[in-house]
Formats: sequence, C-alpha cells, structure tokens
Amino acid sequence: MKYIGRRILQAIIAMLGVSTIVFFILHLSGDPVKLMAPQDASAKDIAVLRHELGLDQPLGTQYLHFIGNIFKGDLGYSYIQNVPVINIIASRFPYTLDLALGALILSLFFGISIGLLSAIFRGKWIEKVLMPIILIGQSMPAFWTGILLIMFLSVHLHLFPSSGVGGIKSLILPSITLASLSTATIARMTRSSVIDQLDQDYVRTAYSKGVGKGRLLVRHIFRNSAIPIITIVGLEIANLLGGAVITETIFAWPGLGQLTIQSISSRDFPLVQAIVLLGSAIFIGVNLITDLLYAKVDPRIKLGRDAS
Amino acid sequence: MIKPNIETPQLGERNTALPLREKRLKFWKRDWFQMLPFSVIIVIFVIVALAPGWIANHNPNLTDLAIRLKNPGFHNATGTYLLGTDELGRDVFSRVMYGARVSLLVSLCSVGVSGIIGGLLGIIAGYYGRIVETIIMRLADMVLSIPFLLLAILTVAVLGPSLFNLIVVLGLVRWPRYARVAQGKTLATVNQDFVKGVIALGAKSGRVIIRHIIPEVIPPLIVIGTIEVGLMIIYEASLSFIGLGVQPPTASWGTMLSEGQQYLTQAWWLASFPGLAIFLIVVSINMFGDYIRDRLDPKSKRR
Amino acid sequence: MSKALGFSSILIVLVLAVLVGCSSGLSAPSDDTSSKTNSGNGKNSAQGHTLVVDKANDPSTLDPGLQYNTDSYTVYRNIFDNLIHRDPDTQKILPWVAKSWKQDSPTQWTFTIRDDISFQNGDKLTPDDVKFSLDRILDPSFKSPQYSNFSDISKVKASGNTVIITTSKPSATLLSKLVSLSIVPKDYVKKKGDKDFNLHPMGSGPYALSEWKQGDQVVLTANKDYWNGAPEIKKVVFRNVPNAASRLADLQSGKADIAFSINPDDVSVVKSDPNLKVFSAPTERVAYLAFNALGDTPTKSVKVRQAIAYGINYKSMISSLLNGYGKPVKEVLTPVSFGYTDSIAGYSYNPSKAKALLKEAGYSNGVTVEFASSPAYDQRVIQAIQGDLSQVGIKVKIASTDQATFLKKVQDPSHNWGSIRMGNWSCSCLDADGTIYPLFHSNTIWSSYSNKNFDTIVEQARTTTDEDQRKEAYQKAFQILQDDVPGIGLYQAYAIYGGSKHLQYKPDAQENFFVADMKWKE
Repeated sequence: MKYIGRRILQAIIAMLGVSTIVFFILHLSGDPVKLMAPQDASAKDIAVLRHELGLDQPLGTQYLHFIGNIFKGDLGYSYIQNVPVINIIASRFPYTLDLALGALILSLFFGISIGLLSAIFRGKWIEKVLMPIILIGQSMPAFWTGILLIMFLSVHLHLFPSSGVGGIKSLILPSITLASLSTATIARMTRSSVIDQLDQDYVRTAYSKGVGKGRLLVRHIFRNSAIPIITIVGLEIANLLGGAVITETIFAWPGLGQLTIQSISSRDFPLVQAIVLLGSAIFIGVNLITDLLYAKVDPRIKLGRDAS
Repeated sequence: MIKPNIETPQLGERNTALPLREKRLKFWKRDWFQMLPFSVIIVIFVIVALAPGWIANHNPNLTDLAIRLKNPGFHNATGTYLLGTDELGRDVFSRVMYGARVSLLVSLCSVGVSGIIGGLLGIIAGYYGRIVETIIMRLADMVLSIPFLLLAILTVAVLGPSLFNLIVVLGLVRWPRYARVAQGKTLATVNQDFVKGVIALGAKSGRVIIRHIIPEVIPPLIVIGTIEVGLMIIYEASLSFIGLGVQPPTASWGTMLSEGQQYLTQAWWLASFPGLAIFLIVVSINMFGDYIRDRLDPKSKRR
Repeated sequence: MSKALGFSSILIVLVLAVLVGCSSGLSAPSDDTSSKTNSGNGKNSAQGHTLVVDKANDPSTLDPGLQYNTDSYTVYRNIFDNLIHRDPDTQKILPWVAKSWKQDSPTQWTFTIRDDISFQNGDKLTPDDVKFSLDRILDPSFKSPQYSNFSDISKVKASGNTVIITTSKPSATLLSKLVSLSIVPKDYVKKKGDKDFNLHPMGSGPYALSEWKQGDQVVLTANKDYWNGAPEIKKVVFRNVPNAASRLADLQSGKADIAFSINPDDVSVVKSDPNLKVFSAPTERVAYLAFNALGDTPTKSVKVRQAIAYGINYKSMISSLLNGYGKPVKEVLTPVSFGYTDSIAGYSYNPSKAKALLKEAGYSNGVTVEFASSPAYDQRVIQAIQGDLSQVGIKVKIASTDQATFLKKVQDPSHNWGSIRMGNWSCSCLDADGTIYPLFHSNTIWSSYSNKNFDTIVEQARTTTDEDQRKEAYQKAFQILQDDVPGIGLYQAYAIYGGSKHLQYKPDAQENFFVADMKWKE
C-alpha cells in the first residue's frame, strides 16, 4: 500500500513534468490567435484578441497561472470551441474506449495465440504460415490498411459502413486496422518469450520426468514468459487509449486521436494540455498495474525495491 | 517436439564457454539457406539505397505534367516508365529506388539512436536500482506518455522540418521502449541465482554487466529493434500522411504511399509499389532479426 | 518452404492492391443495384430523404458570432438567417432579413427589418435582435474572431422597424460584409448564456439543430414554419470525414449523398459511377503566390519575381493538374469580384524571358529560393511550380510546417520567412478591397511588400462609395502590382463536390451550402 502511495506521488510529479514540457514546447511552436483571427485581421485586432486570451502576459506568469489552475482542478476553456475542455474530452473518450477495446480484444486473442503456436511449433509449417501473415499487418501503415479494407469490404462488397460511428458493425474495420500493428508486436513478443522458457533447463527436466505437456505450458512456461508480454501489452493498451490519430482520421472516428490532431493544429492550448494530462494519467496508471502484475506472476521481483 | 537435452551445459557456463571460432561457425551454419531470400532482399535494398542512380533510369524529381498517371510499362521518347508515372508525371520506379535511401536512412538511424540510448539507460536502471532507476524509468514514462504524434508535430514545429530532425524526433521519442524491456530483463537476470552468486563472489559491476547482463538483454532488444525498424518506416509514412514528413520533392516510401493512397482507385501503382517495398523490407528485417536473435541467444537451441 | 511462403504473401499484397484498382472500373455497373438498396436502407423514411453530407472538418463553433470559417458557416448558415443575401447567379445584394436599406450619409445606413420572421422557439425577430447580433461581435470581451470584419462600425441603433448603422469613416464594403451577418435571438442568447448558446444554437433559419456530436456529426431538421417556405429536404446530417479518399469511398459505398472538396483527379472516378455526379462551380477563391519582397532573399529583386512569374506554366497546371477545374486569372483576384480588370497584361509562361530576367538580376548560374508551405495547400500545385521553375534555373526548396507554424513564420513583422508562399484567398465579399488590401498593403500581417503609392490608392478606394471611382482606383492598383509583382494569381479555384445523381444542387461562387435550396429526386 505504501508502495502504491509512493507510485501515485511519483505519477503526479511525472504528470507535472509532462505538462511543463508540453506547455513550453506548445508556447514556442505557434500562435493560436493568428489561426483564430479572420484572415484579414489587422495587427491591432490580433493584439486585442491575444490580450483577451491572456497570451500577451510573460510566459512565466502564464505558466504559474496554468499550474495553479490545474491544482484547482480547472483545465480551462477551449479557445476554439469555447466549451470547458473537460466536457470535450468526456464526449470523445467513449469512442476511443470502444475502438481501443475492439482492437485490444483482437490483438490479444490473435497475438497471444499466434505467438504461442509459432513458439511451440517452431520451425514447423504452422510457424511459417503464421508469421508472414502477422508481418503483413505490421508492414502496412494504418492509412494504407484502412483504405484497402474500406475499398474491399465497404465499397465493393458492402459488408461494413465505410466510415463513421454506428453500431458494432462500424467498429469492425477500424478495430482490425488498429489491431494489425499491435497483434504483430504481441505475437512476436509472446513467441520469443515462450521460446526462452522452452529452452530453460527446468522445462527440459520437467519434460523428461514426464510432466504433461499442457500442464507444463499453462503452469510454468506461460507464467514465466508473461513478464515481457505484460510489458508490451501494457504499452499497447496505453497507446490505444491515447487515441489512434491515423485510424480515426481514415474512418472518421470521433475519438481522442482526431481531437488531438485538431487541437494541436489549431494550437488550442488548454485542450492540448488536457489531452496530454489524460494521456499521461492513463499511461502511468497502466504502468502501475503492469508493475503490480509483475510481482503477481513472478514473486522473485520485489516491489518497492527502489525505495529500500 | 521439445526434446530434453541431456547435454545441457552447467549453470552459468552455457554456450558462452565455447571457443570463439566454433561459436562463429555455429552462428552461421544452421538454417542459413532459409534466410537466403531475406538476406538477398536486404542486400539488394541496401545496394539500392547506397547507389539508387545505378538502377533508376529517370530523374526521380523531374515533373512532366503531360505524362501524368501513366500505367506501368508506359514508354515515350525519354524511355520506359517501368512502374508508371505519378500525379506529377514522375517515374515511380526511379522514385522507389531513391526512396529506399531516405526510408532506410531514417529508420535505421532512428532505431540506432533510440536503441543505444534506451538499452544503456535500461541496464543502468535495472542494475543499480534505487534513485537511478526511479529517475530513468519515470523519465521514460514521461516521454512514453506524451502522444507520439503530438510530440513529433511540436518538435518539427520548433526545430523546423528536415531529414536530420526527423531522425532526432523518432530517436528521442522511441528510446523508452528499449529502456523498459532492458530494465525488466536486467532485473530478472540480476535476480537469477547464478548472477547473484557471481556478484556475491565480488565480480566488478562492469564485468557482470558485460558478461552476464548484456548477453541476456541484447536478444529482446534486437527483437524490438527489428520491429522498430519497420515501425519507423511506417511512422515516417504517418508523419507524411499528416504533411510533416520528408519535404517534397524528395521521395521516401512513406510520402509516396501517403500521396498514392489518395489515388488508389484510379492509379493503384502509385501506392502499391512503395507499399510493396515497405512490406518486403519489413518482413526481411524481421525474419533476419528473429534469426539473429536465435543465434545470439546463449540458451537458444534452434532445431 | 519459407521462401515460397514469403513470396506468396508478397504476391497476395500486390494482387490485392491491383484488384482494388481494377475492380473499381469493372464492377461499377454491377454495383448499381446493391448500392442503391444500401443507400435506401433507413435513409428514406416517411419524412423523406435524409441528406448525408461529408465535410472535411467539424464546425469549430455553431454560434455565428464566433468562428468564421467555411467548416463552421457551411452548417450554421442553415440555422440562421443573414441580414442581407447575395444572389448566387448575379452576385447582386438582395433583401433578406432586411427588406430594404438606404444610405443616409456617407457614414450612416438605415435598414428596414421584416416583421414576419420568427425564431424557431416562436419569438419574433426584431430590430433589437439585429442590433444585438452586431453588438456582441463588436464587444471585445466576446472575443469574436469576426471583430475586424465589422470594426468600422461605430454605433448600431434600433428604432421602430429599422436598424441604423453608423461607421467611423465612409465604408465601401459595409454591405458586402453584412452579407455574412447572421441574426441571433437576443433574449434566448441572454437566457442561455454565450457558452450554452454555442452548444444549442437556435435561429430563424430553415433548419433547426437537433444534435451536435462534436467531432462526429451535426444533425439538422427542417423548420416547417420557416417564413420563406418549409425546405424540401427534411433532415441533414453533416459528417466530419477528414481523409479525401475516405470521402470518396463514402460516396461510392452510398454512405454519403454529397462530399466536399473532391480532388480534380477523382472527378473521373465520380463520373464513371452511374450513381454519382459532380457538382462544381468557379468560386471567388483565387490561388496565388506571394513573394517576400522585403526580407533578405533573392525575391527582394523585382527581376527575380518577374522571372518566377514568367517561369510557371499556368496553362498546363490548369488543364492537366486541375483537370480543367480552374480558370486563368490576370491578377490576384477572380473575375467574379468587384474591381477585377482585364486591362492589365498579366503574366504568361515564357521560359526564355524568365532565364533572361534571371541573368539580368545577376543569377546567371541559377538561384535557390525557399517556398514556405503547410499541409493546407495543394502539394501537387507547389511541386508542379517547383518542377517548372527548375527548368529555368530557379531551384525551389520547399519548407512545409504545420499551419500554425507557417502563419507565425510568414506573418512575423521581421519578414524573415523564405521567398515564396502559396495561398487560396476568398474574402467572402466579392470585392478587390477584401483581397489586395490585406495581402499587399504594407501595414497588414500578410504583406511582405511595401509601396506608398499602392497603399494610398487602396486606402482611398475603401473609403469612397462611388463605384466608378473605385473601379478606376483598382485598375491603377493592379497595374502597380503587375509591375512590382509582390504576388501573382495562379488560377480561379473551383468548388468541386461529388454527390448522388438524385440530388439537385447548384454550387455558387461564395461556396455557400444552403440545404434549403436543394432538392432530392428519386
């Protein structure tokens, strides 16, 4: 418990660090006022708008103001939409969650089973069929996979809607697109960690002593090879929840990914900051769970070692 | 399937005890023919990347609006356009050849940068633990937790667009992946009895790291590295898709694919050939990576 | 074994890609029935057809007092009525909410407001609402990005059935600007508050908002009590589909009835589909190049700027790259706008003259110039220019950053941004003042050019209301621009939409999208 408390403290520090980095890069990288003002605005009009948004104050003052508001729980209003950023994110997050879940189910199922199979049947034809198939997914950018899927399954076969949200059917193509990358990553990590275990002495010994294959696999091999797999899966989950910019763009999916890209390109500072905060919170949360799981699967790893 | 091996070397000794010459022999002798097609593909692409001008029969950046979007095999007075022409009348074949250089340069360099930074930091974190681990791993978390494209767009905005900056951006964004795996593997290795024994016997840290930890850490890093090479090519493509990749008219497979994607219905050859090139090189590097991983792994007994 | 598999998978990918390309041409006729039933599914209810519109971006706001970009007003102009209206064919300004107007003095206008218009909640539209709609934009604390459109207005007064607008100096373009003023309900806005009003806008227009799922879609339903007659199409869904290839796929699969911003090269795909047709119109939008004539770059020399102007093959750009969806222009303005003149020579493709000018400028061995750009501009046009100019010895280096960085760079007062940039300008006012003043007057954020004579002429032209005087002034102004070449017009841009053959719609020069004017015929 003490361990978890300390990790949460670290998380808060990390999130502050992330916000600070992003705050300064953002403010260096462009000017939202120029994007908001009409194209023929005069320098004076722009100055008025800038003052109204508080962007004419020194960067340090703005930063203190920003950090102060975060601690008050106030993430501010979107410059462009004029709505509390919390509301905007809350309206988008469910879509990202749907898509992430769809992609995660696909990639966990196919990733782990294909990884396991190709480890067990290493060198056999099964591996030689499965691995290249996995690699196809991995060697195509999402915008290419996505448009090929749309062209085939929507435009020519009319099986799925070509874009947008609407029922489980509309979730399938974007999930496949998004999952194709993580499936490959998970499958390869599974394969290599299981192979690691298969080569361990204890497996050979157990096997020679006549321990059942299935039991060996479930009780020992998979358990022991779980750590790298958990690491990778954790990273993938955090990635998926952060929003899939390209997939969402291709499929007109209204999740966080599209919101991210829109808010960056319009330099909607409060919105970008809030998305970054959410992203790092998710990421650090998933990480914490991953680390807790490490200890569960492998009791030899002691939690909180770094504090003792 | 899994055959028990009675001749398993003793704990802590393993194959590393084999004489160097024999090891080298062992490294290459098995299954090398299976790797042949992939090695050939890699070698071909590397040669192409080094000297695209030897193979390309046109200037890859020469536009000619009169011959836009011509089918593969089109030819006129200036020669044959083996893979057709693109939306500005440039030769797709020559652009794929010249694109090899940019795509391979970006992906290999950024993987090298991030792999070395991440691997070293991960080992240091895992081995020394305590405050060192906390600082490094939390920093890694921070970098990992900023959405990749956000960091990329902002960095390109601040640094300005260029090939070198692209490599810097990709390298800086990706090191935490290696660090996390290296740290996890180091942690597991340090906790193994034989390593504990070696440390207890008073072995120097540097020696433990080089002799026992690095050999354990490198195989998973290579697996990640080979995945990442492909990913980097694809990320470069994604950055091109949002308009922040390599600057036109320079060809890279990523920019060709993202521009060609818009022409899929009326000119399939624009995206398909760079797509194929990416596919070939990613599969080959991955296969090769697996092979090297099996060879480097002191425990692996590939049948 | 693995070799064979490796190659077979490669083959699969290639075959897949080829199939997509080929089957699109082959299977189109056989798709006819299936896609028809598909588009019929659920979209045709008892209330008639629901029009599904694929736009490239979500509206930033639906409060007409705030954002003023095409993505937003395409949607909200269907919810609100504008003070006055421009005829899409003749470009003449016609009555709408204001049934008549007169100019009392050079700085004062009186508008008579119709008394038969009601908002969608039943409240009457009054001159007070008109005054309120203007006042809130002029209130600095409202932070309206449209402030500068109306900043000449010093006072708005409602009296009886009229609204009296006073400007601080004579304004030639007041009426053109007022065409874009949407009337919002004062009491409703006051009650809701500005923030809530943006999420739940309500106006007097032909459509009412029924749902706005941000980032996804906006759903509008017909206002059956609309004062100008209930619209024929009863329901409209504006979707947000950023990727052009996805919008095209939506059209082909029957998911969308009309899609915005179709690439000229995709026109053939739309035309070859028996269910689809192309809607297009020349707009008041001009594609142009602007030069940095003030910074420390080769384009500081007028000879280099002229060389560039002579080095671009405009004709082949329009005929092949744009597939004819563009019209040549002589200046940085389109012929539909007030002030356009045919009397100046313009620039046409002349590579030998370009080379000669370059030599005169002292660059006989060629010169390198930087082209500042962002993903918002057509990369193909920029690369075609790059290709053309390389033929005359001008090496163009493209520096593309995202839009925010691009604006910061080119609008910086230090004029340190490279040599050339591209733009697509539309002032939505059909007037030379809205184009060449902000682009080339030395005091504006866009201009990297300075000419006192030019400044005086365009300043005078904006404060005169005499049409002939203004025409003459702009002719002089364009002659100066012709000699100094701070910028060149590339072509008059077209709006290209792809849509269902059942849809009847006529796009206009102002890129308006009034759904009430459309019809659906099965």
